[in-house]
Amino acid sequence: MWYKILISTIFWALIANIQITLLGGFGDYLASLNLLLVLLVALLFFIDFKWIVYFTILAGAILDIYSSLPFGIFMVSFFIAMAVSDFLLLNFLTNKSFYSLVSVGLSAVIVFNMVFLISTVLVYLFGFSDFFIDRNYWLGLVYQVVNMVLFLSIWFFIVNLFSRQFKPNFIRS
Amino acid sequence: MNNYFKLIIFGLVIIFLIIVFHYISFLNPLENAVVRLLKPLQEKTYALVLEVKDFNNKWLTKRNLIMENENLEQKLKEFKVSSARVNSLENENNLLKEELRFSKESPLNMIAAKIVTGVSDSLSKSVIINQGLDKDIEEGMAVISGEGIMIGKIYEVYPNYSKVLLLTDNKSKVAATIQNLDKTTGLVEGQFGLSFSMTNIPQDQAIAEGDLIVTSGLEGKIPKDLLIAQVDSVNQIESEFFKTALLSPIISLDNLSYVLVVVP
Repeated sequence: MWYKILISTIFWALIANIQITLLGGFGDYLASLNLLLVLLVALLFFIDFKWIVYFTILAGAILDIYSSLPFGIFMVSFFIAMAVSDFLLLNFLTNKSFYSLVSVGLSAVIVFNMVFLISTVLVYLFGFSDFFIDRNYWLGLVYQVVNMVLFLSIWFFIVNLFSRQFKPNFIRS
Repeated sequence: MNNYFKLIIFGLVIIFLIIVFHYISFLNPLENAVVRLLKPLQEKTYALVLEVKDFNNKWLTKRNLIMENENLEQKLKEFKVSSARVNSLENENNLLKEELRFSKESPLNMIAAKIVTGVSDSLSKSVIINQGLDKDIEEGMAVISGEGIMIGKIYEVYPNYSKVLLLTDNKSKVAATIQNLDKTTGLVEGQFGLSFSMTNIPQDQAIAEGDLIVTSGLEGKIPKDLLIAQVDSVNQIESEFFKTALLSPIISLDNLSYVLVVVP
C-alpha cells in the first residue's frame, strides 16, 4: 500500500513537472494540453475511484504550489471535474467504448474549465484582484478540447493493441 | 449513502483542510520540500526548453536576423553621431552637477537569482526563482533582466524561493512614467500573459510610438527609471477620460534563465 502511494506520488510529481515546465515553456498550443487531466481521465477507466481521488488532490496541490493564482483552485477544479466524470461513467456510460472515453474526456475538460473559471471569478470578486477573460482564453479552451480528444484517441489505440480492456462491444453489438 | 458520495465528501474535506493549512502557513515545510525536491529536475527541464527555443531562434529565424542586422548597422551609424553628442552633453552635465554640488547617485543593490521554472496557465504567467527570505527578498521588489530591463515583481516569498509575477501577467500592475515631454505617469498592466499596456493616461498627454516606459518610483520598493518597455501604439477614444498605450517588450520574457532582484 505505502509502496504504491510512494510510486504514484513520484509519478504524479514528474507528470506535473512536465506540465509546468516543459509544456508551459513551449507556446500557447502545447501549454493548453492539460496532461494531468488527460491521464486522470485515462486512468478513471481502469483503477478504483479512491485512487483517482488521491491522484486528483495530489496533482492539483502540486500545480497550486507553483501557480500564482490563489491556492486551491487547481485542486478544486481537478477534483470536481473527476467527480463529475466518474458519476457520468457509472450512471450514463455503461461500457468502455471509444465514445465513452471521449465523452468522459470532453466532460472533464468542460467541467474543469467551468469550475476553474467560476472559482477564479469568485476569488477575484471578493476583492483580491482584477479579472478579465478575452478571446485568448476561449481559444485556449478549444485547444484543450482538441488535445484531449487527440491524446485519448492515441491512448485508446495503444491500449487496444495490447489488451482488451476497452472492449468495443458497443460498436459491434 | 453509497461509497461514491462518501468519497466525494471525504475528498472535499481533505481539500478544504489543505487550503486552510496552506493559508495558515502550516504546510510551508512540505511545500518547500516539494519545490526543493523538484528543483534539480525542473532546472534541467527548463534548461532543455530554453535550448530547444534557442535552436529554433538560431535556425528558423536566420533570415529575420540578417534583415535585422542590416537595420541595426544603419542605426549604429546614426547612433555614433548621436553618441558623440551625448558624450559632450554628459561632460557638460557632470560639470554642472559638480558646480551645484550634487550628491553622487547611489548604485542599485541587486541579488542574482536563477529561474527554477516558468509557470504558465490560461490566466497567469509567473516564474519561480531560487532566492527567498534567506536573502532578505521581500514582496513587491522589482525583478530585472541582466540588461537592466524590468521583467516583473516579487509576488510571494518563501524561505528558499520566491514567485515572480511577470509584467505580462493579468494581475501585474506597475506605476510607470513615459519618457516624453510631459513625463506622463500611468499604470503598466499585464494582459493575459501575452503582452502589456499602459493605462490611465490623460487624453491631453502627447505620446508617440517608440517612447520608452520606465518605472515612476511611486512604489516604495521599486526604484525610479528602470526600463520597462516601449510604446507600440496608442488606443485613443475621445469620449473616455483616459487613453491606453499598447506596449512592446524590449526583451522576450520567455527565454530568461537568470534575473536580478533590485533591493531598494
